[in-house]
Amino acid sequence: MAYQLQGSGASAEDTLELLAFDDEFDPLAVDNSEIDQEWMDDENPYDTIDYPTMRNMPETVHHDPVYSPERQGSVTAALQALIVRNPNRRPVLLGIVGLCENGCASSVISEKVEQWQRDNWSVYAPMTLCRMLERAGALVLEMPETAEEQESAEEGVAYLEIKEAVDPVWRATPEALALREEYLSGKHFRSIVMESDESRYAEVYEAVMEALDEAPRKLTAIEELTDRMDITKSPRRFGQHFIDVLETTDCVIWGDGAWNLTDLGRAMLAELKERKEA
Amino acid sequence: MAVIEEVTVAEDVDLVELMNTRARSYGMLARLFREEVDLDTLRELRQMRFPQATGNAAVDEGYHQLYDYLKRAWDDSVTELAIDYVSTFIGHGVNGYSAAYPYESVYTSERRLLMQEARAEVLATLRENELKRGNWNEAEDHIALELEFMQRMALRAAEALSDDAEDEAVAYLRTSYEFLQNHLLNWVPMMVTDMRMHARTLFYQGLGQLTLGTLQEDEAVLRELLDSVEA
Repeated sequence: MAYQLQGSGASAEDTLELLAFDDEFDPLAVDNSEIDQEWMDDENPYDTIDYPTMRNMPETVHHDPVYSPERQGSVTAALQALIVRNPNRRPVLLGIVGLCENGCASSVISEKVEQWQRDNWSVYAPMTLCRMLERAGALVLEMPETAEEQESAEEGVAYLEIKEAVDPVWRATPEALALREEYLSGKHFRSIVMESDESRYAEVYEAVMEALDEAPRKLTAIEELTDRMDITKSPRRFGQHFIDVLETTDCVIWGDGAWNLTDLGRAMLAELKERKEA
Repeated sequence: MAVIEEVTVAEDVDLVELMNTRARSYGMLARLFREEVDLDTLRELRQMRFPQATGNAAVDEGYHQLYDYLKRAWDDSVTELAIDYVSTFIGHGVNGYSAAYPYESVYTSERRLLMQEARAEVLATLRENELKRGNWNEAEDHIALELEFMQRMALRAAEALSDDAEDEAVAYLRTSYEFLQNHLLNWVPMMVTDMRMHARTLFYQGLGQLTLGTLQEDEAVLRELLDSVEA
């Protein structure tokens, strides 16, 4: 980078380099024989400032948010759509909503999200995710009061200085908290694993979740476990299928190079066992 | 960060320090035009001190606008500034009037086109001074590169003054003055007017004013220095 704050300033190497000189150089030299203006006019109809479509260009580009209460009809519908269309970000989005239940400073959210996304990298910066949730009506931003101007003087020159860091607070809306509660209640796990055709694999789910409860495991270990069970042989079901379902229902999460059982996963494992005993 | 203050060239002015201050100012401005502000740069900018009354209206306005934006800036401002950088300098239209295009050729050619005579002249000036465009893909008449040329000349002048090579230093000052008059001051005022129209944040409004004022002040400083040599 050529810019230095207080350094020597001798740092313009990126965009300007010292030249290894050659004597044959004329920047204004143009070979007119290579230019055929008539051909250019015919071949480049856009090569004119007055082309009609250009005059009709809009002054600004604006588009409405993809997920917003106005578009989806309600905060719940907008947040639901945002979560469904961004399945890989679901745990993080719901995690942010949870953090903001009683208001949370941006710096804390950034730190937490960086931590959560360490094993699930995203192109979205933490504040971009917050802005997405804000547009969906799930979060409200509370900007702090701006501090008074801070003045200082040195050698007769008066300066303005910025002394305080701005750290706005995000607060979750009731609709967002309610939807998060619904996700964390295990509703999706029950509807898929206990109340659909998938329930015939209940023993497999139980075995996988028990194994993960003992210790985080890689997919190969899960595959070894599921491949030993008769029910997975025909029709063939691979370990990845069970992990996919468990991940979709927030019962497992990838972290530190292995699959981990979440708190919700532990609760659902207990429920699965109770149901079996009953 | 360097600040352009009301500089009067008196006998007791440390010319080496003055040249280094000029270089830092140009380096900072070049950085801000070259690409979007990142988080580190934003944090550095928030540590700046903003002179309140420099004697140049454009510099004062620029500093106040930058201060007003930066005192409310936080992490998310990086995204806001990136969006504003695009709408200010790139735009979305193709009619040549949709942004404050940061190229001299646009403002000095009849049909507002890139890569015109101005670019060739800057290229020739770079060559004359044994410089060439480095690790960057924009044309040589991009404002960031023209500002970096001024930075480079100021650094060379500082070095020459440190080595007591006065004639060499004067030559660098003369090159800087001519480049400022023939290029930067010839088109940057028009670009700054366009920045007022297209920039949505006080940051880029302020950057435009600060740049304009800095160039005006530097022209006065260079003229005074050269006059004192030629007198």
